[in-house]
Amino acid sequence: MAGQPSAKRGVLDPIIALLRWVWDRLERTLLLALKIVFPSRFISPLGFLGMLTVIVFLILGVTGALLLFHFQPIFGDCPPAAANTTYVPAPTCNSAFNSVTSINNQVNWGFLIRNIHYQASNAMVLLAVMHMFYQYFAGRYKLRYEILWVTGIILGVVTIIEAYTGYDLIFNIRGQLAINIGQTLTYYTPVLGANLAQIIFGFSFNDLTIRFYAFHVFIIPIIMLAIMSVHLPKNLVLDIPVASAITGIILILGGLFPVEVGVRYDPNQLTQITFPEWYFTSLYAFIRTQGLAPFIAGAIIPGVFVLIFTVVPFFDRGRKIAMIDRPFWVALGVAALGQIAIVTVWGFRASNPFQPLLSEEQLLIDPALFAGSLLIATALAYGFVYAFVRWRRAKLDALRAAKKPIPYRKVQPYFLSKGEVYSLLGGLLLLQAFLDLAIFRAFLDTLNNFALLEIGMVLVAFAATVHIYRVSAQVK
Amino acid sequence: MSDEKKPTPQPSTTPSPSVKAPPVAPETVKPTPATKPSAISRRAFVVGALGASTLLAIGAFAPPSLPSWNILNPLTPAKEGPTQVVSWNALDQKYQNAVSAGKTYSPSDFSEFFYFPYPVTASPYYKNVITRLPEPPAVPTKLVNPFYPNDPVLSKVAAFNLTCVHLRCIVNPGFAGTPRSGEFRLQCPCHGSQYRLTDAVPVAGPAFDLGLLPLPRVKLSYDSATGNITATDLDGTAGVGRTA
Repeated sequence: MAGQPSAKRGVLDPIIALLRWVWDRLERTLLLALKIVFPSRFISPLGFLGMLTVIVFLILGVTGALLLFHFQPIFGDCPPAAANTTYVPAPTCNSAFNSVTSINNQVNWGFLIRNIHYQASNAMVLLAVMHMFYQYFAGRYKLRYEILWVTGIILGVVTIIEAYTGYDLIFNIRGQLAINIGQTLTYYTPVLGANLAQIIFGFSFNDLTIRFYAFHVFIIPIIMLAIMSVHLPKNLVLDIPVASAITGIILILGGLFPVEVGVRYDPNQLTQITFPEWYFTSLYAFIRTQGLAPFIAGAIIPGVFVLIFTVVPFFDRGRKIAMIDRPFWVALGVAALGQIAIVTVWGFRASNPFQPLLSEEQLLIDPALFAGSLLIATALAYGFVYAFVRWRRAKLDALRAAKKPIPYRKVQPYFLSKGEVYSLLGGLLLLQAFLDLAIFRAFLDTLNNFALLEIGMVLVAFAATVHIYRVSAQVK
Repeated sequence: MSDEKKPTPQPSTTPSPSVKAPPVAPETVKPTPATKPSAISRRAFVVGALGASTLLAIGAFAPPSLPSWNILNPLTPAKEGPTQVVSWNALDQKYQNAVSAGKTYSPSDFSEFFYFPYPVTASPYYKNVITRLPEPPAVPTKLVNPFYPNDPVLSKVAAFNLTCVHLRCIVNPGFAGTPRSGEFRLQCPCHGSQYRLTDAVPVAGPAFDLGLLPLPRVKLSYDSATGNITATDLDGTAGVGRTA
């Protein structure tokens, strides 16, 4: 501005001046102390999965806050049937579930907000796990990353506990199964168990609802923010198109696979066979394994698994971080991923995986089959990956010894021509215009799934537009 | 060890001031002891005062609150006293109707459910069942309640808490092992634990595999004047089992 005194004064000048004024004052605050980089070219989102997790956390915060207005944290009164009468659930029975149903079916925008909240919770768990494994394979847990790593692991565990308290609040039979299991596991904790179970779960289901409500909306999020403030690295990458695309994908998933309210829990009616959320089916598989005590299956085994990951930086003392230099740790990580996959799939399966899961006898898992599949998969994953990394390493060493150039796979970028850019951008704009009309139409017809799907598509289209713009701006 | 690689680029700029700083510092530190010959330093005093007041503050609350976390614990409702559960005649009639309809296969046809010693509002884990035990016309051998073997009425009924000791699902009293074999059981719908109908000892499923305790027992009394069966106490803890 100062370099061009002869330029005309524009209409926007006062606004720009105001923004500059605000920006200058912000330098006194903490906000500008964080180095947030808005990358001008595409970089792999794997590198900033943590930031994406934070964005999803913010989405969860906003949608959760909106859900607070309509959720009733009361279980209510479920009187049993009088003698010689057929049971009719009282209207006060399971108010929490009833309020979730009304959010889903009656509250304006309730369906959309609830679906976004649900899919974002899944996305947050998934992104956190992906983030952890990416950092693990990138070797970013040692060389002064130890505190970031350990707080990250704690944050991941707390995230899963937060998700657990969330889906229990719905009080469908799935949530009730989770409550039963959580209460039993807490009860069998040595020394403190009985007291801890009383403190966490209360005595009645009304206690439990209000306690889990407090945990879910206040206590655990505050703990998460506190840990996040330590876990936050100094340099952050905020890529607007990727963040927009992730948000869009969450919405699209919400539209394609709308979450059901589930079967209402009623203590006077018989329980049905049900399964926990996908991030808990691994624990559920252990709990259902024959002869394994619940506390060992649901607390000791996962605890040891998490502990091994927590202490990895204190055992991997080597100073090299490239995957090719760490065959043992890379193989260990792949084996752990394999274990998680196998156990998660087992969690959904019956004792005989080829039969439909209909009867109660099917729910018990044969320990020989379970442990056998787990061991074989782990051993194979570990062995193959270890051998592969060592083989690559030997090959590179041989090349170095022979003083030959090490071949790198070059990715040839595809540059768009001007015409292609214009037609793509125009097409995307047309698509967005069409989608906007379709969203409006879907709202008029109360086609909630469609609306959610199309809002998500608009966000993805926006991401694509910005991405194409920056790819083309990079060329010329 | 691991610190060696990263800081190496930095020393070119930073170390020189940090190395030069120490010679200056001792000169400023040394005069202070000379001007302060007090017996107790300011820091020690502040720390001691803070510690003492904190201890006093905790001590004031300690006697009542040490044994438990009162503020965190829920308000536990009062236990109900002896509660009339069911009329013996009504329960027996239900059984006779089921037998004449040929339905002795499922004990749920001649059972009643009740919440004791806490109402359902307090906790669903205190759901109990009282069942009329089947007799020879329907089964080969008579089932007898082992806790009241000589009582003319109570020997014919069984009453247990229904919270499974495996993972706290509500047990379903609708399962009979083999039809007409007299092998009646309580079965958990979640993971298939099975309990004997007469004494609720686990006989199959995870509760049996893990050697868990039998279901809590509802203690009963019978008033021959009114014909009512009354629950007097719960022997054991819901979700954990009974030791007797």
